[in-house]
Amino acid sequence: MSRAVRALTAAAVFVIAVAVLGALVGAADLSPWGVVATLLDRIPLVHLDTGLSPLERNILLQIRMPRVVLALLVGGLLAAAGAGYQGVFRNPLVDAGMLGSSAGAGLAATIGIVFLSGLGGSVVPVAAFLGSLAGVGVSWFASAGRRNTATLLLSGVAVGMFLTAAQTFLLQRESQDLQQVYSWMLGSMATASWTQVNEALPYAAVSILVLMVHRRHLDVLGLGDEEAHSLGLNAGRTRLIVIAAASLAAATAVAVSGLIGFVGIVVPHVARRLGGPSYAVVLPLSLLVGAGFMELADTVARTALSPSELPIGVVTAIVGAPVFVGILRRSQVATE
Amino acid sequence: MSALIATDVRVVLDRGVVPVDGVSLRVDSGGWLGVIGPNGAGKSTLLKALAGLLPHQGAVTLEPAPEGFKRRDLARVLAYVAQQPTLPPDVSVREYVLLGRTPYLGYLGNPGRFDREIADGALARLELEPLAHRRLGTLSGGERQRVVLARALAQRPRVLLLDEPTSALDLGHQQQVLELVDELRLDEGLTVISTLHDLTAAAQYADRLVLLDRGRVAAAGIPAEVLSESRIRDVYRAVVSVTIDISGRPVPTPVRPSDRRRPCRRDVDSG
Repeated sequence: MSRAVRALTAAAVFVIAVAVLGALVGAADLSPWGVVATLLDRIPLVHLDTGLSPLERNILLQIRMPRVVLALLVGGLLAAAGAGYQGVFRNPLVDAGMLGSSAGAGLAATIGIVFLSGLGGSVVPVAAFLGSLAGVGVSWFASAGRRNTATLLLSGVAVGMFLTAAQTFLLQRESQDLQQVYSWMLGSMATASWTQVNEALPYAAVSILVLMVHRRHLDVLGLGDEEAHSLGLNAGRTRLIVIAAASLAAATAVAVSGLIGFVGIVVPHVARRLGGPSYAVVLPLSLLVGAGFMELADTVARTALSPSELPIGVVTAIVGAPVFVGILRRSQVATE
Repeated sequence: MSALIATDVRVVLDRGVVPVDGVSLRVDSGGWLGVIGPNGAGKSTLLKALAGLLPHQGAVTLEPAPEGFKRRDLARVLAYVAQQPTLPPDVSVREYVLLGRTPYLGYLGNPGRFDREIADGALARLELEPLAHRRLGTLSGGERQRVVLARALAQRPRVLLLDEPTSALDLGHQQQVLELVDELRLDEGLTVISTLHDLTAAAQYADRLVLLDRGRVAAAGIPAEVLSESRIRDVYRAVVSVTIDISGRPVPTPVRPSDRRRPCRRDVDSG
C-alpha cells in the first residue's frame, strides 16, 4: 500500500508544481514572487502584499489561471476516462476514441462549424459534447443484446468509421471551413476562460465521482464477468455505469478543448507503472498524472513557438510518445 | 454448514439448446458431491446453474438459506471456482485473495483490517505466505489453483463449487489439491460440489456421485453404485474394468477394446 501512497503523493506534488509553472510562464513578464503571492492570497484567511499591478493581476487571474485550471481538468478527465474504459474492457488499448466518442464529436463539431456557426460561439462545444455522447450511445445500441465486450469495441470501431466518413464527406463539400474544423480537431486551450471552467465543472465532478466510486469494482470486473458475478457484483450494470461516466468525462473534455489524443491511452499505463495494477490506485493516479501532463503540454504549446501556439494535440503526441516508449522499455528491462 | 438441494434444474440456452434437463440432487452439509459425465454432458453448466451464474428453471436452495436475496448475500455463503479462472497477471497474490472479500464490502466500501486478516488467514491456511507478493503471472499451475482456492476461502463460504479443479494439473498436484479440498471440507465444515473428469479421483474423494448423460441424471449414489462397468460402457462408450481397492472404493481402469477380442500377449508368448 505504501507504494500507492507514495505514487499518489508524488503525483499531487507534480500537479501543483506544473500548475505553478504554468502560472509563472507566459508572454507578460510577471515577477515570480508576485505570482506565488497572488495565488496564496486567494486562499481564505491568507492576506499577502503581492506587488503586482492591477493589469498584471488580471493577466494572471483572468488569462493564465483559467487556462491552467482548464488544462488540468481536461487532462484529468481524459486520463480517468481512459482508465475507466480500460478497466471495463480489460484491454489496455481502449480509450474513448475506440467507442465512437471522438468521431461523434468530430462530426457534430463539423456540422456546428459548417451549418450552425450563425447561432453563436457556444454551438461547437455543445455540438461536440452531444456528438461524443451520441457516438458512444450508437455504438452501445449497435452491439445491444451482446454481452461480450469485443462486440461492443468492434461496433464502436465501425460506428467511428461511419461517422468519420460522414465528416470527411461534409468537409469535402464545404472546404472553406476546413481550416477551422482542423484546428478544432487538433485541440486547443487558447480560448480558456472561467466561464468555460464553470460550464465544464458540474459534468466533470459527476463523471469523476462516479468513476472513483467504482474503482474497486473494476478490479473485480478484471476477473471476468462470471467470477465477478460469483463474488456478488452485477457485471453488466457496473460496465454500463462506468462506460456512461467515462463517456461523460470524455465528452466534457472534448467540448472545451477539441480532440486531444494520446492522453487517455497512455496516462493509465504510466499510472500502472507507478502505482501497481489495482484500479483503486490507477484511477486516482491517472486523474492526477493526466492533469499534470496536460498542463505541462499546454505550457509547451503556448511557449515553444511564442507568440504563436502549437496545437496541444500535437504536443501531447510529440512529447508523450517518446516518453511513453522510454517508460515501456525501462519497465520491460526491470521485469526481465 | 449448509446443505444444497436442487430440484428439477433445467437450463435453456440460445436456439433451444438444453444442456441441463431436469436435474435434481441433494448434497448434505459437509458432504462432497462429485459431478461426472462425458464431455458435453452438462457438468459445468449444471455447476454454474447451482452457483446462480446462469438463468435456469427449477429451484436451487440452501439450508439454511442466505440472509437476503441479493447476489452478494449468495456470494457470502457460496463460492464458485471456474475451470480456468482469469488471473490478471500483474496483480499480486495477496491483492487477488483480498478480492474474495468483495461480497462483504458495501458499494462504496474498502477492505478493512478485518478483511485483510481473513485474506491473510486464507493465505496461511493454504501455505501461500511465501508467495503473497508474487505476481499472478509468475505462478505455476499448482500454485495458481491454490491461490484461487484461497480467494474462494476468503469469501468464508459454506458451500464450495469447483469446476474441474485439477484439469490443468499433473498427477502429484492433482492429488495435493484434492487432499487440500478434503482437509478444508473437514476442518471448516464446507460442503463441496465439484465436477471431475477423472473417475478414479472422483471415486476416491467424493462421498456421492451424480453421473450426467446428455443433461440428465443417469445415476446417483455412492461411488460403488454409480461406477459399474456396464454403466460406464453405456454412458461413456468406454470399455473399463472396475476393481475395488483396499478401502472399498471402485477403481475404473480403461481396457483396450481390441484386447478383449484377441488373446492377451502373455498367452501368445507361453503358447
